[in-house]
Amino acid sequence: MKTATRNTDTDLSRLLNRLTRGDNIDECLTCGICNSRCTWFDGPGGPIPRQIVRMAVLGLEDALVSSNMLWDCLVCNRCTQECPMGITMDLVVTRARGMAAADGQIPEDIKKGIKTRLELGDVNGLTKEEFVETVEWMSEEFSDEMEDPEALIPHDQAGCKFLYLPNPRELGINLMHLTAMAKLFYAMKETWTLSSHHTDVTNWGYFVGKDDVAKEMARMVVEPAEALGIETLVLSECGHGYHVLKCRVARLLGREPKFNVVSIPELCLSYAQKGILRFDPDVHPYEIAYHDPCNVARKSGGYDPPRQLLDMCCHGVKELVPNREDGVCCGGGGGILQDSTTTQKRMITGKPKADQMRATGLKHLATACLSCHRQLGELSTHFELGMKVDTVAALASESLVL
Amino acid sequence: MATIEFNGKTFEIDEDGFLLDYNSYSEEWVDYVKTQEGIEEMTDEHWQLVKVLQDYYEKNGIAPMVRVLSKLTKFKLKHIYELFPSGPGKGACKMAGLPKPTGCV
Repeated sequence: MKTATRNTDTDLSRLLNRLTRGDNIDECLTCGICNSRCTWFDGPGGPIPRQIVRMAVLGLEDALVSSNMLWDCLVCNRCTQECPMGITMDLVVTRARGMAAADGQIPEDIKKGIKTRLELGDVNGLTKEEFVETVEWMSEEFSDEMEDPEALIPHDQAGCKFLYLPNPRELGINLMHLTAMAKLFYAMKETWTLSSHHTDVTNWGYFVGKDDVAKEMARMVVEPAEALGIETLVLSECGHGYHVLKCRVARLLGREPKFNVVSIPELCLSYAQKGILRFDPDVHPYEIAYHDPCNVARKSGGYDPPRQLLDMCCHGVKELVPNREDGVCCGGGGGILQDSTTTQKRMITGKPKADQMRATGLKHLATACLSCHRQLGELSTHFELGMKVDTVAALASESLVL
Repeated sequence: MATIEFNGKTFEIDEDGFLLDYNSYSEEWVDYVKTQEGIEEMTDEHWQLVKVLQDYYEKNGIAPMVRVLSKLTKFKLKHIYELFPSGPGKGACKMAGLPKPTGCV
């Protein structure tokens, strides 16, 4: 039997152990807390977090790259939340994914999306002309719906207070969500705009661990936003998009953006607290459960604003157990939802979440991420939970008192 | 990949329930998706959406943007959702036999 010996002279070792905390895998105590905290560890085919770290420590890069674990990991960071040495799994896994040797393992859909995003600025391949045509049409429909010719969805207007950065779904498969967001801005009575340079909040460079790609995608958002002279960039409900643009953008670009960054639920909450937005909780006369998106909550600290806003729009918020720092991933994190071949696998990764949802005994659930939203809806159907899943901002829009 | 049988016909579908082969589309497929979508009766407007999607797909090899679908059918977005509750991508495209949408969807 061949015994593995520690080899620190490897590509992955050179990428890791560069910070004092987070990627300090050499300090792993092999205690296995990460295994017990991984929500997929006990499920069929689940990854073994401690083994991922040990493979990296021992320089077994080929074994790690050729195992399924690298792309099965949901990058939710639940496993290392209580790591006594402060290692964070998203750093380890994304660094390993980012190695040249791992390029062949990148799922086809992710590869294609990154190429399209870098070429056109939109992961779904929406061109600027298509964007303008779609938004102008939505603007007309919005005016009709509101019965107010002043109710518009503006685009490419300089000097506005807010620039809304949509999720690509809001310009494609889920256009109604964009109209719902427009209604929130309408009620705030502030200047706002969309931009043909800002059709996409996502940053799949983060999923594949390539800082140069992540940096270019961030730059494509930040520089044209600065050129528009906006005060605040308002992010649609997108977990990893939020994490990258709130927590990583300064390190990626080497500077802070010249504007504020908030998510749409956070912005709505602040306008409600100022007394400008008012909500009628009787529009949703039921108690609702709230799912913490890992990227918004555990990875970025955004625990309270979505809950506070939801509480104004429904009859109480019920917690899934466990939640917040210990919240369970929806089962679609780390790019797995964006790979169209994973539907069956996601019903395994999402089983612990489905169990939590069922245990609430409720019929309604909300979250602040459109990827979680899709996955949770599919879980509800697959496990016959009968739960209606909404985003927090969409519920706020429905509850608006105009 | 899976196989389903409906009214004596067999269909090969992907794991999201979309037809694997566009050419295996038939009226029985429509009847099957109808039950999945909770549509009681196919109206002329349902058929119009299906036909427009198929014509566009046969010419261009991809599904049209929702804007284009609305333009070609003259249906408002809300009306498309009334006809197909799970939406143009997941409902109407599935019924028309088109492949499932990919990307950030």
